[in-house]
Amino acid sequence: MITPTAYRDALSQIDAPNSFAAARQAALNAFLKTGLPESRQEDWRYISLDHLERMPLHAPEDGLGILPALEDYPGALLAYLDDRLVWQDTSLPPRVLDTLENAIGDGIPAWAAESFGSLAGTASLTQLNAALWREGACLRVPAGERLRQPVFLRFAAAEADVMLYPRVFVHMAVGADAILVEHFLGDPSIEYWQNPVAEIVLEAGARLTHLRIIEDSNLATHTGLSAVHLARDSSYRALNLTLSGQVARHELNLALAEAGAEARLDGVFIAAGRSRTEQHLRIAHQAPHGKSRTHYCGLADGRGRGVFDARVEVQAHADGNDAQQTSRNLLLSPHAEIDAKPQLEIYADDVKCSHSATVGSLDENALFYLRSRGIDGEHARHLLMQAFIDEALGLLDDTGLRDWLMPRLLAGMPRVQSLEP
Amino acid sequence: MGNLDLQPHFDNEYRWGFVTDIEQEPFPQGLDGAVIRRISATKGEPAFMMEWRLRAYQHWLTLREPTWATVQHPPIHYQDIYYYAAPKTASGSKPKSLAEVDPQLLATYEKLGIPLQEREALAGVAVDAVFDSVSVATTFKDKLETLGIVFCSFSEAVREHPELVRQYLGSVVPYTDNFFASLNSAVFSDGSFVYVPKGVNCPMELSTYFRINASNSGQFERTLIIADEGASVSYLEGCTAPRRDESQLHAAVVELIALKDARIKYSTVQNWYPGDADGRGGIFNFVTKRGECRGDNAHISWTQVETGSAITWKYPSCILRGDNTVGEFYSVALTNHHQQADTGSKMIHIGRNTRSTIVSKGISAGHGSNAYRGLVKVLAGAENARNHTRCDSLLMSPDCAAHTFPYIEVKNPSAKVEHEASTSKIGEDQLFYLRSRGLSEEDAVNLIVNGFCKEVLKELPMEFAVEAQKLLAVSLEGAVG
Repeated sequence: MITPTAYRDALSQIDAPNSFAAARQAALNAFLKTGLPESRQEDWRYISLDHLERMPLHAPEDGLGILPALEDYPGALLAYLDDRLVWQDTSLPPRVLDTLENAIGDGIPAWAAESFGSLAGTASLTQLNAALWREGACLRVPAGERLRQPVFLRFAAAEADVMLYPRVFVHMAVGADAILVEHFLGDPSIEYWQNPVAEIVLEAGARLTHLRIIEDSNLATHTGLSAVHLARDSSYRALNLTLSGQVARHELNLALAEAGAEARLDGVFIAAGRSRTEQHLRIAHQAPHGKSRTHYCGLADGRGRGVFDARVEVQAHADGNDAQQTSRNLLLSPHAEIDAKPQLEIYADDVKCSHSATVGSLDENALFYLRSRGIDGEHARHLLMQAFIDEALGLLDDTGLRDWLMPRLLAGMPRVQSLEP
Repeated sequence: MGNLDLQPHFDNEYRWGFVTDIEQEPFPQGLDGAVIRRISATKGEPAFMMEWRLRAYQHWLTLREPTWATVQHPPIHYQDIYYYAAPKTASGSKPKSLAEVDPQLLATYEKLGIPLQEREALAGVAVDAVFDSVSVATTFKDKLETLGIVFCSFSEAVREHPELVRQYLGSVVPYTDNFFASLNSAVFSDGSFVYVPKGVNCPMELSTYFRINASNSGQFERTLIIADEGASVSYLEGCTAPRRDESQLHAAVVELIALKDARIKYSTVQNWYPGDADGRGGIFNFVTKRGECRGDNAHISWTQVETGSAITWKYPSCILRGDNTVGEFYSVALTNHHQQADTGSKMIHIGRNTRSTIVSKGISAGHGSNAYRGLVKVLAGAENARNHTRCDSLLMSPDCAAHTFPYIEVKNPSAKVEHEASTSKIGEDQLFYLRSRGLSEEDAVNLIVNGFCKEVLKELPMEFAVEAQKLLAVSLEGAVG
């Protein structure tokens, strides 16, 4: 098992301002008290982190990793390697885009005071991130401003057995508008653990489009959290793609805290090989007239296991809310598994809520149709899978990122050969 | 659990068959090995039954009360309960005549059109002249016997057909299953036993005629129904009339076993005392119901209308072990005032070409809380499994709550599993439409509720469907407007 020393060493290496040292220590103590989540806990019943206990995990050592080739990112970019900012390509001023360390300085500034550290909650993995994050990223879009280019945050891992704690804080002021892409990846030959946390605040009327791509090594573990707070009439649109990883879990906590807030959550997850992925969504309608749309597509192949666990809550007297949730899943191999848990928890009466979930395989009739038109079986299956996930990819056209993203998405799709019985 | 811990209990002075004048001596409060041995002895059970009860009790001691359901209740003090209430000793607390019974309860009987004598029995009045069902019962019993059908109380079955009980008891719901099932296994007082032999179609709805006699079976009821190869039976439990009961905790277990080509239909209308409008009192109903389609082509169907109890905790389930087996679950759960229901179904697909259907309708009014909780599990060997689940909730007050917690776990790519759920308020425009046609608000609501529940009510035997509709109307009184 990981000894507490590994975590304590990691903390001792962090050169934080005195004003934060105590808070980090307290967060670490809180984590050590509870430890890693166990499968006894309802929220972790499908995904186990026991393997982490057997790994010689440690904090990254400076300068050991080699920067994997940077792809072309069509926008502003901060590139991190083992939790260090190693490359930036941005014309945005530091007051808009900077490391989180620089942005908050010695004390939490007023614009972050209400949410920094509190939005993400106090789950044990979140506490661990709060104790051990380094540098991080901060995006602040001023009131009424619209960023013309997407902002990319690239978090890469290059050192074996490293534990990484990327931390992102996003503040969208009144009426601001931006596109943010978080991209997680790593050396495909190594094991490591990414445990990122993102806190996102949308003030009244703000709009954020958020793409989050997990493209980690197939030996890696990813346990990410995004916590989003929506004020009056704000809008949050997200596309969450989980393409690889031994264990990849993304938790999204969304609070529609004021009237008229809107959220659209799309996602595609692919569990191939022996990978396990979990999409864990909590959508809290806390105020009247909120609207949320969730559409996730899952593919499970090989011995993969894909989990969709989503809960919509409508709190008492939050009238006029409208929440719809769709989970569609394909099982592509006799050893794969899909688990779906779409939940509704409703304490108000003037609501419209629905969810649906399906699990099945590719439609034999559709396959036959395509083959009868001269398309070979492999190609036909591939086309059908592509069409299946395309329903969740609407945001790609809205953001102009389809050309950038599709190649990596298609590369992450289950290999067609493995589909033949 | 080994047998090791049990030896001291067997060695104790009190053995089954040791006869004492039980009736003179009230059972003590609380639960220990001695109480269980006494229950077993009182009922004249063979040794294997007592052993089984004691093993269950030992296991129960290792369990903790589950807390995952979305229900809230004051702690239950298990050592304050009388685990064997002989009917005679309890008569002191019973009302002497209908005049002493809560007038609201009487009004409800009136609306449901329950015959006068039935009302007395249902209200728990100590009546001398027992309702005339005894002779009716005997007639039916003769008819069943000629077909070889065994239909009797559980205690009778233990005495008369120990081999059947021994073979099937606990084979679907083992005593280790869960906290309440363990407790029930240790202390169950009585219940019903049905065995339908090979190839026999039971010609009548069982239990429909003895709806009152059954009320004495107590708070820890145990039912075991076995349909042998090619047999079929339809069983109805409970009745529409609200039943008063002094004991607050009810933990029943129902086991159904359908062998090859057999068919069991189990319908429940549950209307235990729900507590008063402020949520005081009312029954805590923690029930474990499970059926197993053990042979190929077997079919089990659960239908339930739940309107009573302060707390309902119940998940009638089907284990679809044989090939081509079918499981069905149809449910209406209504919670009004401060009632809480956490109910649903589990469908475990093991055999090939298994099919299951879940239709759950929840209605929440007042401060009621209603949760659907279900599991559809398709194991790797369950080729071509099919499931369709539909859960709808109807909300009728700003303070009520409706939840849906489905679990879907699929390990076979040839499976087709579909789940859909919706939650919405009773439609203002529907109400307006009906009222503009001259219906009173209450009638309009009833019409809408009946439409909402239609898919489930049509699964009930005819006469109960009619009663269930009335029951829904009565239970919803004052919920709207």
